[in-house]
Amino acid sequence: MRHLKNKQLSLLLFIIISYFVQAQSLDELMAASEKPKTEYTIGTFKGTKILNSQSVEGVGKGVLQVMFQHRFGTLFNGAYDFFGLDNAGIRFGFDYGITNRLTIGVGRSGGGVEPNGQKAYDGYFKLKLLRQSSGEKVMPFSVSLFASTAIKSSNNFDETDKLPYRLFYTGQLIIARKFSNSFSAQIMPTVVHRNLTDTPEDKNTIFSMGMAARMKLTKRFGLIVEYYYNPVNQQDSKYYNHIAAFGLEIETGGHVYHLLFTNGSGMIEHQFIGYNTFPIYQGAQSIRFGFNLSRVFTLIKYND
Amino acid sequence: MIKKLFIFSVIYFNINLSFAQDIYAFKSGKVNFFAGTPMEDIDATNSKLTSFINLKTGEAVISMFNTDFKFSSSLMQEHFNENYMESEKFPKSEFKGKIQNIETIDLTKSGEYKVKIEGIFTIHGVSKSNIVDAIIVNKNGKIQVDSKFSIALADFKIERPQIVWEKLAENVQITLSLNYEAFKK
Repeated sequence: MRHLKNKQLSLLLFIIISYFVQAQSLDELMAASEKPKTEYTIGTFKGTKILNSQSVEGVGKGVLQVMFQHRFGTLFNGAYDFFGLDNAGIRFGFDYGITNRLTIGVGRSGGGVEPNGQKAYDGYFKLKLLRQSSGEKVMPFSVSLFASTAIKSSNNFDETDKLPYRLFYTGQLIIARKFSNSFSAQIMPTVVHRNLTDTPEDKNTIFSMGMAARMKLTKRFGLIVEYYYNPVNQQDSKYYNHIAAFGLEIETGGHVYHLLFTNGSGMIEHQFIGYNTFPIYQGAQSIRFGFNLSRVFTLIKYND
Repeated sequence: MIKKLFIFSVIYFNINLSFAQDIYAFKSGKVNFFAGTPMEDIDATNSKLTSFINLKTGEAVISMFNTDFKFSSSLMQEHFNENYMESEKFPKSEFKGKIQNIETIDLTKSGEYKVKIEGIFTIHGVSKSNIVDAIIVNKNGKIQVDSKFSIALADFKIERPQIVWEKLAENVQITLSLNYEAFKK
């Protein structure tokens, strides 16, 4: 009896195994041979800049980006200054992707009002440390490290024209997440170091916390807000106003445009974070129009 | 009982074996698409597909991830996935079809066969049936499938905005050259 049971059991097992061996419909085969895949998030932000500050994004390997930025005068004088357009500050820059994770760039800014009038040259690198992904490998955030050095070339014709006093450094960790196709956000803990401060009370190294978010309206248009919170007691508040920006992101395949309003004239980190002379509560006396315009060129094509 | 089981198993495995022998799995090759205009080359290649073909029944399936398409420009690749294919929403492109008149030919024999494959393309979340021409070559048990056809972007609700700098062609040329080997478990 027991013997028979074993036989029956083995027959049953055999039929079950056979059934699996037979599982040969192409659909089942497709499902069975599905390899796990990691999908990396793309387009957390369209541009390498949010509005004023850096986004988590770099440019692709072998891609050169040319960027023009303008911050105009304040809206305060109305039509007399053509709503600020008479007092244009400019920065133009070149950004290049050495790898898909490492972007380097240089820029020159000047014109307009302080602090953009520093006639500064800036150089930076941005390294993607982590990439947001789903699937086989899950990573909830993208993280980039940004570091820049700027040198002020405008002269005071005194002791402060010595080279060390002209240098500014910024270090930033950019932590971003694309929550959905239409909503992305990032935070940017930032350190700015100046060798020379405006008053002896100011600290040479200051901390700030940046935050930014984008809400996409359509595939190519998005609304962006950006804000830097500066913890108090680090320096004279006159030069240390929180900076906010509000703008529109437009992407047209190769071009990214930002049209924005902000309460600062600086376009590099140590200017709009540590040296912003325009408090936002002054309204039209501080707020100005600006734009960023970028165009990318694929210099080296890769077929890997 | 043991004897019965043995006979039964021999028959059963033979059935399974003969069935399995007709199934060929994708080994190497690529799918290429060209959507360029005289102004600009827009083309990409995907060689990481999953595909099976059954030589007896004429059934064929192909599936691939959109993010596996490699472009010469990383920016184009990003736009392809983000703006056109919406790969986060629709990660895969698929084809599922059957060779017409499979009863009249025997693909298991060496030779070159011109066939029409009727099936359903699923791209950008939209399914549409189509018939494509293909050449199937059986060279001593190695199968090669070559095909060239075009699909209209509008059929798959893929937007072609007019303001962008990259001008996409209305019809995308698809070229595929795929090698198959007998599928072993």
